[in-house]
Parts: sequence; C-alpha cells; structure tokens
Amino acid sequence: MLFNSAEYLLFLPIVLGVYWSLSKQLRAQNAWVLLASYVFYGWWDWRFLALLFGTTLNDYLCAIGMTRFEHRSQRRALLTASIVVNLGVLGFFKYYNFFVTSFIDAFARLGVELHSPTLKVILPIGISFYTFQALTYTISVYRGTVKPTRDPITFFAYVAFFPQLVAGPIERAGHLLPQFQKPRVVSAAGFADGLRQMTWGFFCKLVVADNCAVVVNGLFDQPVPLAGSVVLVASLCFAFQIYADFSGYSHIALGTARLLGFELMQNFATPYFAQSVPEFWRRWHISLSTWFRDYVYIPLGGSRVGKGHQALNLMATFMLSGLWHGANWTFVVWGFLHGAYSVPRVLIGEPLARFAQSANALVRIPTVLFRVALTFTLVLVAWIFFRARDVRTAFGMIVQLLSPSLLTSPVAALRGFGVLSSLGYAAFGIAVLLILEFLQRDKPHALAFDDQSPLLRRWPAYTAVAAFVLLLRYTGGSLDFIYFQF
Amino acid sequence: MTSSTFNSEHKPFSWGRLLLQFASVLIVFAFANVAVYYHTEYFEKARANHELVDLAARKPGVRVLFAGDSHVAEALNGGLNADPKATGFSVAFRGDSARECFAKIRRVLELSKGIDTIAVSVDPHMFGTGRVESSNRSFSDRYFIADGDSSGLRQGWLPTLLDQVPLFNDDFVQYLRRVLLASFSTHRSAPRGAGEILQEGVATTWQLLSDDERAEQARRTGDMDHRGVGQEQQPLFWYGRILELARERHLSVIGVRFPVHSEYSAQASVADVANVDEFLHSHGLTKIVDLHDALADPGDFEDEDHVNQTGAAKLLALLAPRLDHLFYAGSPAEPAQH
Repeated sequence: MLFNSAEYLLFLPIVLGVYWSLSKQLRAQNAWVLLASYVFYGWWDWRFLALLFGTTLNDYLCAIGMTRFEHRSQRRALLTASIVVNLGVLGFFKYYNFFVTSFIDAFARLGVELHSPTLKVILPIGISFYTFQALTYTISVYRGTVKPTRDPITFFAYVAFFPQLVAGPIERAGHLLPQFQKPRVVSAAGFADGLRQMTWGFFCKLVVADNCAVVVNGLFDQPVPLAGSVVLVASLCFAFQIYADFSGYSHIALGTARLLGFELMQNFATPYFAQSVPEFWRRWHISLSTWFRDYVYIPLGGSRVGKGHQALNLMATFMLSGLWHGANWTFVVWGFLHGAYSVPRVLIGEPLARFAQSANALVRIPTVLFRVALTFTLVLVAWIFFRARDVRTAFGMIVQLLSPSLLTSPVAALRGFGVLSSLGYAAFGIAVLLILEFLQRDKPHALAFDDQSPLLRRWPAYTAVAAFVLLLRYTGGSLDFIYFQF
Repeated sequence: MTSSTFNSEHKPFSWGRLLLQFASVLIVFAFANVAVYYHTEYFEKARANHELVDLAARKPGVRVLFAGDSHVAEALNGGLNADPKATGFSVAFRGDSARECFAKIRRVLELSKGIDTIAVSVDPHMFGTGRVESSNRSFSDRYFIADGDSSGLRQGWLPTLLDQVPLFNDDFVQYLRRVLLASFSTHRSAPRGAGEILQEGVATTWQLLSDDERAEQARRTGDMDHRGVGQEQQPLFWYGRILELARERHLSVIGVRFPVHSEYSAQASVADVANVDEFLHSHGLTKIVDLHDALADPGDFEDEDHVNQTGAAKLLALLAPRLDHLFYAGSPAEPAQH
C-alpha cells in the first residue's frame, strides 16, 4: 500500500480507531499493529508475507537461542545464522541476477561464452530495510546491548511496523523495540504535530517529487544525447526528486508513527544545506548512514586505524552502501564517488571550516555559500550516476555538462519533451521547500511550529502548504516512492 | 522533538482544541468543495453531462439514443433534444470517448425501457490516440460506480470514489491550474470547437477564412486528431462493449459519421478506417451511415469538424430517413426536408 493512495486514506483511520480502542491493552495493541502491518505489506503482494514472516521468525529464534547458550562460539553461530539468512535472502532477491550477469560479462570479455542461468526474480519491496532492521536486533542481542524479547507479537510487530516497513527509517532495536514493550502515550500536541509532519511529507512527495519525476523521466530516458543545459535541468530535478520523495516518505512515516504514539528516528536534516560531503551524510538518510557506520565502518576499524587504512574503510563502506541501493554498477560508482569525496577530509581535514565559523560575516557568509554550493555540485554529479541507465550514459551526460551546450537555452528542448509545465510546478515546489526548510532548519520538519509561535506565522504556512498539495500536486495518478525499489 | 515542546505552560494543547481545529479544517474543506462544484465551469460541464443522461432516461417516447463527442453534440443536442416530439435523444458531450459513450448508454438503458436503437459516432478520430483518455472520465465514473462495475475504473474503487470529491479530482485540478495560469497570462489562446462563434448566427472565425486557410487548418487538425486510428486497443474495447450491450438487449446499433471538412477526413488512412469498420461489423454493428462528406458549404460549419446551427438542421434532415425509423420530424422552426 502506498502512503499516497486512496487506500491509505481509509486504512489509517481504521487502524487508529481500533488502536485507540485498545489503549489499555498493550499486547492487543501490538497484535493489532502487527495485523495492520501485514495487511499493509500484503496489499502489494501477499505472497511475500511468507518471506517477511520467515526471516522474522529466524531472527526471533536466533535471539532466544542466544539467551540459552552461555558459550560464546554457540552464540556466535546463532548470530551467523541470523546474518546468513537475512543477507542470503537479500542477496538472492536483490543481487543474484546482477552477480550472475556480471560474472558472465567478465568471462565474455576474455572470450569465454557462458550460458546465462538468470532467473526472473521479483524484488520484494522493503527487503533491504526490514532485513537491516532485523539485523540490528540480533547483533544487539549478541553484543548484550538489547535484551531478547520472548513475546513473538512484540518482535514481529517491531520488524513489520507498517509506517517504516518498506522504506525506513531503519530503526535500531534498542530504540524502537522498547516502545513496543511499554504503553504508548499519544498527546494531543504530538498527534497534531504528526498530522503536520504528514502534511509536509505529502507536499514533498506530491508537489515536489512527483512533478520533478515527470521532468526526470522525460529527460533521463531519452535515447538521444541531451544538451548540457538540459542535462543540468534533469540533474537538478533528480536531486530534488529523490530528496523530496524519500524525505517525504520519511516524514509521512514519522508522522504516522506519532499518531500511534511511537517516535521514530529523524532520517533527513536539510542535507542540501550541508557544507561538506561528510556533513551531507550526517543529514541524508541518517538511519542508513549510521547503520553502515555502526555495523560496517566501525567494526572495520573506523577512525582508530591509520589514515590510509581509514580511507580504505571509508571507500569500502560507501561502495557497499552504493550496492545496498541496487544491483547495478551505477550505484557502485555513486558509492565510490561519495567515498572519494569523503577521503580528503580524512587525509587533510577541512581547511575551510575555520573560515565558515569566522566571527566576521564578510568572511563567514561567502565561505559558507561556497562550501554549500561545492558540496551540492559534488552530490549532483554523483546523482547522475545514480539515476542514469548505465555508467556509459552517465559519463556521456557529464561530458555534455562540461560542453559549451551548457550555455544554450533549454526551453525549446523542454517544451519539445513536453515537460515545461511540470518543471514550472516542480520549480515552485522546490522554492517553497528550500525556503521553509531554511527557515525551520533547526526543527525536525518544516511545519514544526511550536504552540508559542504566532498564529499569523503558523496558519498561513499550514494553509499554503495544504493548498499547494491540493492544487499543484501531480495529477497523473499515484507514483511509487523511489526507495521502494531498494 | 518531545511533546513537552508543544505543551506550553501557559496554554496546554488539548484534545478539545485539536478536535476544534480539525473540525474547522473539515468545514472549510467542505465549503471549498461545494463552492467549486457550483461555481466553476468544469463542474457546470459535469452537471450538464449528468442532466443529459437524466433527460434521456426521463423523456417519454425515446427510441433512438445518440452518443459521441462534440461532432454529435454540436449537430444534435440543440435541435433534437429540444424537440418534444422527437423520438431520438442525444447524450453526446464534447470530449467524450467510447468509454464515456458506453457508460452513458448503459445508464440510460438501465433507466429507460423504450430504446430500440443506439446511434453512436464512429468518426475515425474516435478510434485514435486522442480518444484513449477523455477529460470527461470522472463524469462517467459516476455511472460505473452506480452500476457496480469496476471494469471502467482506471485505479479501482477507492481512488475513483475519492475522485468524486471536487478538490481531489485530478481532472478538475488540471482545469483549475489552466484557469489560474490563464488569468495571470496577458494573452489567452483561443478556444477551439464549440463557443468559437463570434456573433451568433452571423459570422464565425471559420467563415472569415479563405478556402486555402480552411483547408490548411483542417489538414493540421485532421492530422493531429487521426493519430493512432485503429492502433489503439482502448477505443476498440469500449466499442466492443457497446455492441455487446446492445446484443444482450436485442437493440440495433447504427454507426454514424458526421460531416467534416474534406481535408480533415482525408488525414485518416483509408486502410485504418477500413480496419475499424471491419472490427465494428464483426462485432455486430447493424450499419454505418456515412455523412462525412454530406455538407461542403463553409456556411454550415463552425470549424473544420463541427457543424453550426444551419449545418445541424441540414444534417438532421439527412440523417433522419437513414436510420431504421424516423426519430425526428423536424421542429416547426426548422422543417425537415425529406
């Protein structure tokens, strides 16, 4: 089920109504959340519920097993079983064909022709998210930082919690599981803020991301080379499409969870205002970047090793993160680029950082603007690889960006591709997004006004955003969230 | 963010206050919907559309039901529907595709038992790409909902029901944006089709053009309107359903081709049109009354593919004797010429 669907508009009030009626019965509430989550997931394809159930059961039993065995090697074996099953399922559904075809291609370059045993594998939505979330549980139980739960309903509801099941945030067991184990309190203020956060999420998705999607799909899928200026428009639109799409999803997820009395971790914090690529990663898809930091980068040695080793660890972590996004070399290159952007900081630090903190505004402001622009440009180049059909196409687009055609007017081409009006709506939406997020940059979302804010500031913002959702939304039907494919 | 951020010491945010705000938002939203439903051209069109269907179902003695797009509506809705003695009635509406025709025909047949003939437009452009999706889609969704038939609903029951709320209706939002943009724009593009008459009964834009200009405009429009004729499966599917519906009820279905400029019709490929005809006949179409070249005087047209009032009167006189029975004897003001 999609958040931006009519079904969800009916589903959510029913879930909330029953949930509140069970407010004195924690276990019944959890069971209801579990049932609702399975309905939510099964709406897409009920057959994959068995996979969700199976991997969850495996993790539940492995964690229980860890409490029964004193011996470290036995506990390690159970952890290994959990990791192997989770990553095995993920690997099969997500990477089987990628590795098989890459292997065959490599042999073909050597003149050896192999037959392709590829399968028609459907990627279950959300698999990358719920397997990673389940893994945080067994790893934490193994490390002794989380007590295993014996209540299967609690654990199954934790893994399948519908607001964040299919696209995160990837919660840590230590943060979300305890919330299932004690009664939740839904305050009127929290509920109202949940609704506001959902409204902001819908604005991001329906106005910004979906209108950008029309432009992006219309331009990136062209078989002919595009002029540099058109590539620039396409790349800018994709940068905001993916941000608004994913952050919009996260806001709706967090808002929905708050209606149920849960607090999920913040997943985005105005990343395009970041002044360096490492800072960008502290603000972008926070739940995944911290997951890789905690479960890959730090176990590899983190910053406790020499600078060269640290740089290698960083590159490996980013390339794995790229591969997590999808089975395609474009994602690996995207990860590689982000790793390469981050390595200089390890080796030489951030020479401009002290100017950005200068007391003198004439020094500070231009430095900050320069750093934000440079970071955004680097991120933008990487996004071209992320979105392009293949690495060759992405290189071709970057070559166009560096050609004189960058200075030509893109208007005629955009009109020809039939994307001009969508671009207009998207540009307006992006401007509203940037302005509101800048003004509210210290808040968890752009409509997070506290009760002390003047009415004349709050209500015009609510009304305008709601009106924009109604009037400027994409009107061609419900578009999937980009991160569903990951 | 914790809830303490919101729980001001001076003014605690209560459930009562939240409910009050929620109710206020709902009331404003409801008013906004009512306002746009009763005060916008788009929903005026929707109401006119529904009114036609209601009238067709209520009018006594109707035996021939016409359906189609503006080619039919411009020609028949004025003279035919206004004549109390006529046994024919047109539910045609500007922009209707075969799907809308099917939905309306079925709705009228559900409510009225006297109809024995369906006369539906089989103008070639009705089978083209431009008629795969109609801007009147959501108007006809109402009939699919009423008939409990989800086969014509693009996105299933719930989205379609939601689409009935004016401000959630995607087509209306598109229309509203166009209107808002036009109001900001210094120049407005001239609307095409109905309503182009500069002065009723005197001269139209079309009549002020030279023959060459008319031919050029007709070629351009014809080329655009006839793209994909016979290649699109959607129109064929819905025509098939109209014919199946008629078969189940033992009704005859007559296809009508309406008068257009010769250059307009020349843009449709003869082979494509023949394929369409073959499809229709193989699915039980009784016959095709082809009047596409029946009128040639520019004075009979409003533009390259719509007749004006004069042309409509002439067309009725030509069409009436060609159907299985006389559905229109002509009003006292416009005597029919048999």
